[in-house]
Amino acid sequence: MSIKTIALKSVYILMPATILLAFLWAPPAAILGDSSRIMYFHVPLAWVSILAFIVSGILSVAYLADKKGRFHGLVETSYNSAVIGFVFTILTVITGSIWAKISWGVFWNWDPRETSIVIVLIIYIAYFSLQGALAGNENRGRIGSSYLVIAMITLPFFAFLVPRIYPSLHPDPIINKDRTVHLDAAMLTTLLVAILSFSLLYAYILFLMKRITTLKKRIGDYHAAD
Amino acid sequence: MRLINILVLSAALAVIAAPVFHSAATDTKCACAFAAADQAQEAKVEPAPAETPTADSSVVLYRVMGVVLIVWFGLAFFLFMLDRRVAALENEMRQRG
Repeated sequence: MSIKTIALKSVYILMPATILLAFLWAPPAAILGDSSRIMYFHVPLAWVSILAFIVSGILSVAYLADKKGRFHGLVETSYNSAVIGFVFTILTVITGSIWAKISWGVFWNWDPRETSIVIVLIIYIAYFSLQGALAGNENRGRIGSSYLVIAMITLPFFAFLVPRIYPSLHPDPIINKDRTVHLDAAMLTTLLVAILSFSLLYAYILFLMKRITTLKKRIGDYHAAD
Repeated sequence: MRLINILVLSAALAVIAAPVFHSAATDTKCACAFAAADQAQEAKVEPAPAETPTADSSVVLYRVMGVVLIVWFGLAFFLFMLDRRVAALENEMRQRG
C-alpha cells in the first residue's frame, strides 16, 4: 500500500475522530452554546467547496495550456472536482441553514453570504447544463474548461469579498480583520482536524472518481477493440 | 467476505446507536436537537450558561452525535465497498492486459 493510499484511507479514522472531538471534547461557544458545534462541519464543508472549485479551475488551466496533450484525464478530473464542490456547497448551505434557524430563527434571510453562495451554485449549475448540452461535441472539453476558469476567477469575489463588504449577520470569518483567530485552543484544534478530515475526504472521493473514469475509458476501449 | 463486512458494520452501528436509542427510551420529551432549540426560543426562559449544560441538552447532544456517526458510517461503508469493487475491476483489467 502506497503512502498516498494510506493518507487517503486515514479519513476512515480521522472523520469519526472529528465527530467525537466536535461533540465530546470541544467546549461550546460562550453565547451560541452547543449549536456552535455545527461550525466543525459547516466551515470545513465550505472550505472543501472552495478548494474543489479552485482545483477544477487549475486543472482546466492546465488542460487549456497543454497543447501537446501530455496530461490525460484533466477534463474529467476537473469535472469530477466541480461535482464534488457542488455537492459540498449544497451541504454547506444545508448546515448553514440549520445553524441560521437555531441562531437567527429562520432558515434563510438573504444574508450577503447566503446570496453569494446561491450565485456560486447557479454558476456551477450552468456549467453542468453546458456540459450536458455539449455531449458529443468535440470542443466540449475546451468550452467547459474555459467556463471553469472564468468561474474560478469570480469565486474570490463571491466567497471572500462580498461578505466582507456588506454588513452581515454571519459570524466573523475564522481569520478575521485583525488577522487573529478568536477561538479557544480546543475549538481551534477540533476545527483544524475537521478541515483536514474533510479535505482528505474530498481527495479520497476525487481519486476514487478518477479511477472509475479511467476504468470506464479502458472498458470502452476494450469493447471497441472487440 | 461481503457478509462479514455487513456483519461488522451492523455490529458497529448497533454499538453506536445503542446509547441513542437508550436515551430516546429514557427521555421522550425532545424529538430532536432543533425541536429542543425551538422550544427554548419560544419559551423565552433564561438559558443555562454554556459551561453548565443541563441533562436535557446532554441527551440531545449525544443523540445528534449518534445520528452524525451513523450517517458517516453509512457513507464510509459505501465508499469502502466502492473502493473494493473498483480495485477488483482494476485487477481484472490488468490481468486481461
